[in-house]
Amino acid sequence: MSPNLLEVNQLATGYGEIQVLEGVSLHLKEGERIGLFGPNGHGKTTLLRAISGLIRPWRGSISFKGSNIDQMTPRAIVDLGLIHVSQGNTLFPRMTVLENLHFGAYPKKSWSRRSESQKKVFDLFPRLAERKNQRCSTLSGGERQMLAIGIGLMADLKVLMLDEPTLGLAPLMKEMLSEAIARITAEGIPLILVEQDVEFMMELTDRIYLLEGGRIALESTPDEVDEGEILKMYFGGGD
Amino acid sequence: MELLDLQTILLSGLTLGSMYALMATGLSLVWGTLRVFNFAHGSLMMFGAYLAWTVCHSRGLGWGLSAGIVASLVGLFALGILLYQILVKPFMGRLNLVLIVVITTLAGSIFIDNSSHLIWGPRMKRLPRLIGGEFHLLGTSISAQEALVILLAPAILILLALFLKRSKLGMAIRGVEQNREASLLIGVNVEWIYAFTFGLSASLAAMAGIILGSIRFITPTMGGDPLTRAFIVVILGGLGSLYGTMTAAYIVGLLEATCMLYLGIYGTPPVLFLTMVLVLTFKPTGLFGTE
Amino acid sequence: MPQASPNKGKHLPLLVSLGVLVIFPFVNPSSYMQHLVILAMLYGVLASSWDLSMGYAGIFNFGHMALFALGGYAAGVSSLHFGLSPWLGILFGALASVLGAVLVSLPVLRVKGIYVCLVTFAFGQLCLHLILGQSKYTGGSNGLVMIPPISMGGYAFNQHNNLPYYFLALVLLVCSTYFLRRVVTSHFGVSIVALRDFEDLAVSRGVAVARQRLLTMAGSAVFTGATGAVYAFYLSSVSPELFGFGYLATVLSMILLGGSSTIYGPIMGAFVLTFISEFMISFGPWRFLIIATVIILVFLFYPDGIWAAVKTVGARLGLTPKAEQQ
Repeated sequence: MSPNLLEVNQLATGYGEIQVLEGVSLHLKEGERIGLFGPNGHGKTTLLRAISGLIRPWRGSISFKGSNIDQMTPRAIVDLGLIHVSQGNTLFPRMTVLENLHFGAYPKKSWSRRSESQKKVFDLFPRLAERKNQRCSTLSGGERQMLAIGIGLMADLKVLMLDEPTLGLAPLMKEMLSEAIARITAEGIPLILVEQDVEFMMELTDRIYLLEGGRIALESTPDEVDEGEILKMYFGGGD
Repeated sequence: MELLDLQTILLSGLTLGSMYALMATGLSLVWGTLRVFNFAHGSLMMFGAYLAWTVCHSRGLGWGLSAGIVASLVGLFALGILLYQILVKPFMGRLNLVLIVVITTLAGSIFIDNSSHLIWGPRMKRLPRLIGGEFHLLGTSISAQEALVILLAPAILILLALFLKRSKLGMAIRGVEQNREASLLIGVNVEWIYAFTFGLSASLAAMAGIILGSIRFITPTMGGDPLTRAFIVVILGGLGSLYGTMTAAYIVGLLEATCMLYLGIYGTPPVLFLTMVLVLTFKPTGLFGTE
Repeated sequence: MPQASPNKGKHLPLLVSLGVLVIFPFVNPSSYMQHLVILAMLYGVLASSWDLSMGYAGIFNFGHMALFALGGYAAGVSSLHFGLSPWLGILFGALASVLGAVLVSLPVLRVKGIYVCLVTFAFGQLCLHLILGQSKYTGGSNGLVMIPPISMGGYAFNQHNNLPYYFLALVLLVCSTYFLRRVVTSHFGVSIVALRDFEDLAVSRGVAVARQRLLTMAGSAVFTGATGAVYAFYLSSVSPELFGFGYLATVLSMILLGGSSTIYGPIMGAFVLTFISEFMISFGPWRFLIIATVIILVFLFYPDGIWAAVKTVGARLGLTPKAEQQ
């Protein structure tokens, strides 16, 4: 039995005939928070989608608590507690905030606890509580992001995977999100955080991976690595 | 316009509108959730009427009308799921999904039509009425059956709306319609929702068939015109809005009733078509369409 | 069986096919087979013309059978009720069809995807109702019968095993195919494919969506209508069944099984399906039932169509080049 909660081994996959991941290996321990960064289009989202079961691996394996999960359906993976909050369009536009959240508790296990979970989410994101009966198409960008994460929190959460939660957000919003995510992980929830905003990511993670060209190019920790260097490396000279 | 004319139009229009609402809602539901168009919908309506007849009529099983209705609704639900498995599911994820499913459901329609012709023969049949008798309303006489239809269809549609809005399953259907991938990531069994929606749509068609079969006749080709009308309804109302579809159904029903009275049976289709064209010219996504 | 090649410049298989078709009536003893080949050629024109709007331009046009039927009815009515010459009838057929195509294009110029399918289908049904309504002229639900045959200088075409009809159909097929191939390889043809695949880009380059759609529909109707007329004269009848699901599915399958966006593919599909379909004409309701089942099975097991499967097998055996769809 491996000590790792989640393990990805030499994962290779893609879409149709286009290969995106060449052989990615990483791991996540209980209570750990890892970050994944790198240039756009190099496979970060693809990796999360492979873990949550939206696409199948071509080679390699993904295991959770020692068992292989790479042939499981997204539904089964959600039942295991691996929750993927994907990038961009993750909401149900014609439902209210409250409905969106309740929908997040869809699986049987989570459904019975939905009032509890909902309270926690509103506690974490008071803004959402204010807007709970509004259609989510009326929310601002930051509020939508909060809601997306909130939906993820309604499930029976064992591992939280966030794909670029700060995309397109103003600095004030990012602050709020950072605090909220820190509170979530403070309760011991393991986190996989995919981010473009390297600063944001380093505040919230224990270990980080650089994904470049479909491979892991660097594995390190926020203390050891030089932030300026990273930024230079892939922004070509500063933020 | 004479008062009698107005009443005739109103009653006839509401009856037609009710039937079209049931038909078109089923189509709209499938389109919204699966993003495919079911050309076999008219055939399902016809088959539902025949199934009800077989179970209820003395020359069939003779179990009475209620048994016939239940058998038809349940049977068509199952048939809908079967059609989904054979004609839609194998092609999900393919590029030309809409075109492919139009053709496979077209073929399915032909299959069901001709099978019905073989099973039940070409002669007309009729479903017994749920309520006999006539009564006077607004100075004109109306059969109790037609009055029932006018009340029943909206009742069913309201039930459907409540189901979609309040129940967990209904929420899942709406969720899949609004964001398929997000639904997957929540743990919804999207496959199953697709099958269920298709079955539900078929049951609605069966209901429409039972209504038509009790007011008019059951023939192997009875689904043809209602299907075309349902197309006009969904175009007029615009795909993507169930309330829009229901409203458009009654508009088309009333329009048709008006035309029938003044233009006769062959003058009606051109007017309906022209109306649809006119609406499309100014609003290419239909009156209430969101796509 | 004629073989078709989508590659430009590979004229040999084309000439061979043409040669086979020319010689066929002289070496063939069976009048039934001759009948089937005549029908196949006529359906070939129909299917390949439809390929122009559906395949190349990507217009989800479900009213094409109506255009065909309009041609037939126009010719039949002009000949039977107004005593006009069948050659004029063919002209009227083409005109009626083009007029119909223009009328149906107007509502779908700005409309997308499934709406085009529904509107064009509704148009077809509208034509059906109009024809049923004028039963005095059109025979109503029984169809138009006893249409006189085409004749030239007193010589009626339905003699000698319908040999004159055979060559008329062949001439139609050749002219239509030539016309269609010229259209799709022209600047116009390229622009409508561009519109289909890269609509936004094409529009930004100045391609006028509405105009191209209108012209495409009209172009697809010219030979369709003329062929509908010849069809009516050949069978001496035309029936409202042409507007139904049965014919719709059959001819659509000719395009899809034959290979859309090729012009030649649908012609091949027409031959295959005509033989299968006409063979079963005495089967009554079983006929279309079997066709429907075959369509479903083919889609299930040969998702890219029989033509693609044939090409793949042929490529593996080194017989045909593995050409892609145009």
